[in-house]
Amino acid sequence: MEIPHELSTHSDAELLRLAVAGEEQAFLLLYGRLKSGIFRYAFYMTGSKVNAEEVTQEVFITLLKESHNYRQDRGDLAAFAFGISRNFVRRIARRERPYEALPEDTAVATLSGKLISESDALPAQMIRTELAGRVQAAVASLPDHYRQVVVLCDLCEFSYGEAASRLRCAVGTIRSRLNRAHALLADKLRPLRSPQPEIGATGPEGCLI
Amino acid sequence: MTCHELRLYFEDPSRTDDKFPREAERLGHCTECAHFIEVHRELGAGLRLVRESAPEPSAALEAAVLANYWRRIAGDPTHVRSRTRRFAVVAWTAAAAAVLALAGALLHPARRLERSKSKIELAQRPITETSAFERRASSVPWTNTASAPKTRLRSARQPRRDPQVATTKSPASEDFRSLMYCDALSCGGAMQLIRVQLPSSAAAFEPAAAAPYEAIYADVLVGSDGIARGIRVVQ
Repeated sequence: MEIPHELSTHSDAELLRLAVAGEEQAFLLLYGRLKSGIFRYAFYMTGSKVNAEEVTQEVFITLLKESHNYRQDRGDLAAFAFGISRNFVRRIARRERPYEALPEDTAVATLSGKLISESDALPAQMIRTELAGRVQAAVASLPDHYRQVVVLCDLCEFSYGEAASRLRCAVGTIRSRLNRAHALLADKLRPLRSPQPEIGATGPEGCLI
Repeated sequence: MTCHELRLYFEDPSRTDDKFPREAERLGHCTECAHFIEVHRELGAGLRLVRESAPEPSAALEAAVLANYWRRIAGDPTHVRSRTRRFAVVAWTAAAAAVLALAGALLHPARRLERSKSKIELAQRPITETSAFERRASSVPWTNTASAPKTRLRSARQPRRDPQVATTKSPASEDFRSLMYCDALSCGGAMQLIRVQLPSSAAAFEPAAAAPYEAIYADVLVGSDGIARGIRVVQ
């Protein structure tokens, strides 16, 4: 469906106002702008495409229903929509907690060791799929405040500033959480890598610090 | 560049890899830094794989969102769910209904059986086996059940009485006239009290009524063998 050119210059908040007033094109344009971020965030947080679609749908329904609660001075509409999607993701996590067990570290280590031993025999595509699955499982096993940052910055490709506005915390907090999350992820994925070289194998000058 | 600066460089999201080769010459001198860079590169590759393997939202989602939009605009609060979600809701509702029906089917015959057993026990209880509660109740003057307080204790201990057929406590204690020879053995067992309507002329044992053809009511005691044992005119 073709979107009129004049609408594309409107802000998200203006598009929402027009959409609530019955302008379908405005709603479609707003949907096109926001859906990818919401869907990807929900997918990485829930690990399920069906749940991600459910969250995306509920977010847009809630946006229309609660449009009067949006205040432009408190942030952009994408951040408002992200807050809604975060609540729905939490609700789904509570709902599905009894049925879904996240992989434990030992399970990840066992799987990765097996992957390394069989890597020569497996086709490259299968290895890539397995690796992606392992990394996704490792991300899913992170504590929630680390996982949020990894999902936003590394997987949804938000900038530090955008992630900070979504999570309502300082950029420095995002940066430190991301570093800590990367360290945890590296530990979880350690069996994938070759063993760490001995300390004695350092160069003649050694480390400067 | 120091090791610390190198790590800060890799933690900077705005870094570009074209700057990296200039600093790579020092990696041969520090294995820990080389290991750190290797770890981050592998992690970056893994995260990139996860990014690339993410699915796209289906076309059905857009249709459902648009349908919900129009329902919302039209003022209809019901939501159009995606097919998977709708199926799940229908399936869960059907399952819940089936479980309720099954539970009802299992519990209803058991309750009926229990009720019929209690009725049989009530009918077969001998007259002499009245409980202390019933004896106490028979000693107090009769009160209207509608005005009596309906407590849980009373309803639990006192069986509901049929308005027309009821067991008697002691025929000798009431003003019944005997209709047949009755010894102790034949009078034992449960007896039923039946209220009948008959012409006053039929009650020959009563003093002549004011109107000879007027209908009167009488209570008749019937034994467990179906034979009437006593009668009492009540009106």
